[in-house]
Amino acid sequence: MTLDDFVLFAGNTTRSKAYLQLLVKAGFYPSLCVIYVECKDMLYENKMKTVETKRYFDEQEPLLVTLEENQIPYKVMEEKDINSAAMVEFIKSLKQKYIIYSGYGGVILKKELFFTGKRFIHIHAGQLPQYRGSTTAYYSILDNHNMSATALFLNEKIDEGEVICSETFEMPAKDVDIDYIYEPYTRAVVLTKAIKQYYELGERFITKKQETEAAETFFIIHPVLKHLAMMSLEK
Amino acid sequence: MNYEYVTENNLVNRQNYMYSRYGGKSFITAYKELREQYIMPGKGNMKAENKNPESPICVRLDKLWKDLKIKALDSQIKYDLDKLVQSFEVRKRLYSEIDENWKPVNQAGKYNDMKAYLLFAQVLADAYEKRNNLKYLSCLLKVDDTLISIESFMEEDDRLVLSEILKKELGYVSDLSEKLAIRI
Repeated sequence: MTLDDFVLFAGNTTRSKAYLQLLVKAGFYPSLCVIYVECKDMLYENKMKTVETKRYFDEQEPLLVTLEENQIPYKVMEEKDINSAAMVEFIKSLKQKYIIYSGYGGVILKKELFFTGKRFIHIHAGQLPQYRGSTTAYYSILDNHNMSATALFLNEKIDEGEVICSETFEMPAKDVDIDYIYEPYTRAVVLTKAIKQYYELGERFITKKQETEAAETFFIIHPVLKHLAMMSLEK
Repeated sequence: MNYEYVTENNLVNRQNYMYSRYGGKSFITAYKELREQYIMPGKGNMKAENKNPESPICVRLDKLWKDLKIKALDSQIKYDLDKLVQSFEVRKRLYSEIDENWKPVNQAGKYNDMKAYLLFAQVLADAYEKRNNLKYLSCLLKVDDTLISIESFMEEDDRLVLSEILKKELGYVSDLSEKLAIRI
């Protein structure tokens, strides 16, 4: 099924690869994929040196290969800043209503993007509102021995937008890279769930506002605590 | 493996803690060994106190700590503490002159008031004990990295306070490991 209302905005990351591959696996093909990258040559590099055996997705497969093999229309933009004036104008010109946002880490969307007439779907690696902020997967492992991901619409505040859906996942096997493999995988599963729901509900989203009383915002986890989280998977 | 998060002065060489490498148990061993170097045996119960009424941040931190003791972590105190944590996590410094959200009034202002970091660490330790919120323990670990990096500038009393804070920190990490059934 072609996702007529959706554009995948993809940084050149393993998260984008996970999104694209799991959408395709579920039979969903974005009507357009926009890859934005500082230099086009970087699309042909493969920095991953893991020994994953495609348990979750193929992190070695370049985005362009997935797009071309599945005949998904795409555009490559040599631009790393989604907040640039050129990007804002380009986004305004798109006919699709929804942007599936798979950007580069640490970038916050500026308010101009929220006046383009599009809604940005983001998958946060944590249960919202209890785990807002950064590196929330590790805090969740330590607190609950599980990981979650939440699909939401972005707004000008960080992780405070309306929630589409979420899911909780069991712990991965001990040799799985959480940052580059399992966490992107969990986000991709929830993205696919959100898209399925959209079509099951007759091409609309039903969302919930977050309850602020339960909200907690976390910051980059200290390496000692990150180590404890990872060591807890090794038992 | 080395513990690489304490430099000559973390207030100058600010740590962002992003994408930290995994070093397994040897990293935790390196962390513990470093902390233990700054623990003074048998000198318990030293507390940081604000003796400088001219330091706005210390006055506020002292009040926050005392409020925490009396009122526990009610919503108003939590709001104030979370704003303080956010300010430190963004800047990795505590500025002496701050606004109501603990943000520096002047980005070029002073940020090397030792007592402020000791008071802040004490507040975080108490908050973590009351709420078991890992956000406070994570921040405490970062503040303690900073304190150890500037330990050579400390007076003896401040070293004693640091020692007590580090004992608590190691205790929290040990308890968490036990809860996770990890041997460290």
